[in-house]
Amino acid sequence: MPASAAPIDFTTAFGRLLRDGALRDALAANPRRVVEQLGVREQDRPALLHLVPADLEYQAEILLRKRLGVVREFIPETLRRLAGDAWPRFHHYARRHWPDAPHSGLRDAHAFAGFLQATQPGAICDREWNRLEFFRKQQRLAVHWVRRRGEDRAGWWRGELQLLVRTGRQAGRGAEWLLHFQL
Amino acid sequence: MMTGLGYRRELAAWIATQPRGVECLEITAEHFYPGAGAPPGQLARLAGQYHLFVHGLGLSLGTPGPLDRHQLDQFARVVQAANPDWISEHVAFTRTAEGDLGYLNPVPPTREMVRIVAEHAREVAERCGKPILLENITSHVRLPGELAETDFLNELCARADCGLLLDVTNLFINSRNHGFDPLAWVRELEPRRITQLHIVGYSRAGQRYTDGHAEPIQEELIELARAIVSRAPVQAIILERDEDFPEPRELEVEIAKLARISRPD
Repeated sequence: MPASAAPIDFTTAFGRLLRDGALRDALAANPRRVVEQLGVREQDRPALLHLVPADLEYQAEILLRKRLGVVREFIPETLRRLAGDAWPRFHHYARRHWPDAPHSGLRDAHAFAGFLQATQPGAICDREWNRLEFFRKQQRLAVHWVRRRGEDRAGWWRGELQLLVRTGRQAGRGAEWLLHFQL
Repeated sequence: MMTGLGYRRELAAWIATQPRGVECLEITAEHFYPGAGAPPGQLARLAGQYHLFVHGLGLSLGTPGPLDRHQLDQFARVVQAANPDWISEHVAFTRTAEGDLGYLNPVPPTREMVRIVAEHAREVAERCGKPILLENITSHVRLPGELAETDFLNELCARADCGLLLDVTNLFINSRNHGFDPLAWVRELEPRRITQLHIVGYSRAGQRYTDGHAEPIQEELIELARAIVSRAPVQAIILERDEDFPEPRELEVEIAKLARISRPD
């Protein structure tokens, strides 16, 4: 931090720590150094130095689990495929990445899906990825041909025509319709 | 004392039947913001059936600086439509000047924070034209400050001229995670400020107690609520279940348990 920057208050510093896993790691390793680097106001330093790293991590984890709950609304099938691996994978991603508002749930889901594309591409549901891309790009119309593994017989695949139509001006949740035609 | 529950869309059909024992509802303001999916006219219908209270999650009273005008306007519109007996928010922050954190986080018990939260609470109450209550939250970190937590809450309620929404479950969870006596904590509070209670079963994750809002109310919580009601003029107790909703019959049993806290057999 530049020496001339204005000192930050407790809430701002605590917020940074809750959003940034690497910063929490640094605080656990050397609290005085991190508090100094953050440029925290003198009167707020004792409270930050008093934080117990395990408690801070748990407080941050509560926020990450809330984020996962929001992301689940956008990619339920992908998370179902990840099963017990969903939380560890999301935690790995989210501890290092915090989305900016507005529509942060959509951005978070898209960024997490991007993370999975790079690390575990088979886990992503194509329909959900298409939907995320459609919302994110604020398209009015999109058509995709997607293949889906059949659930009735092993080794079967089904084709689906996925038609995405946005009817409202507002981007994000609630303003789009999703139609599927199964062939 | 009225008994009721937090309105959730999963419970809407059951609530519409006006089940026995449900005398009031607490609605979450953010669930009725534009785009949140609530049917038009629903608030007016609920207001016609029940005493309503409007509860906020995202006004972030503990953030230094001005309140988010857009959030406050949306909150006020919900209040206007619901015409509640009172409104409530948390002693917490959910955003900083740098971004949104998405959920409730604790504020340090300092005189500066008393001033910040109290001024924001007064502003919300004046904007909405309704009395406001402030609620204690669960926190996994214990923040030091100039004041004990109970002194902080007493000063805060005095300065904001408001009541306390005492979340029994949050108190119990904090007492277990941080090792203090919840009854002694309650005895340090100004009793006349305690206007409403929240209660729901706690959850456990290893050694930690958490507020998953997904469990039936445990007996020790009922006992704690009974002790609070015996010393404070509590006007309403709200069952605050958010997940893993049980069958209506089980909810009715829980509501009946809450009713017996103030009206023992």
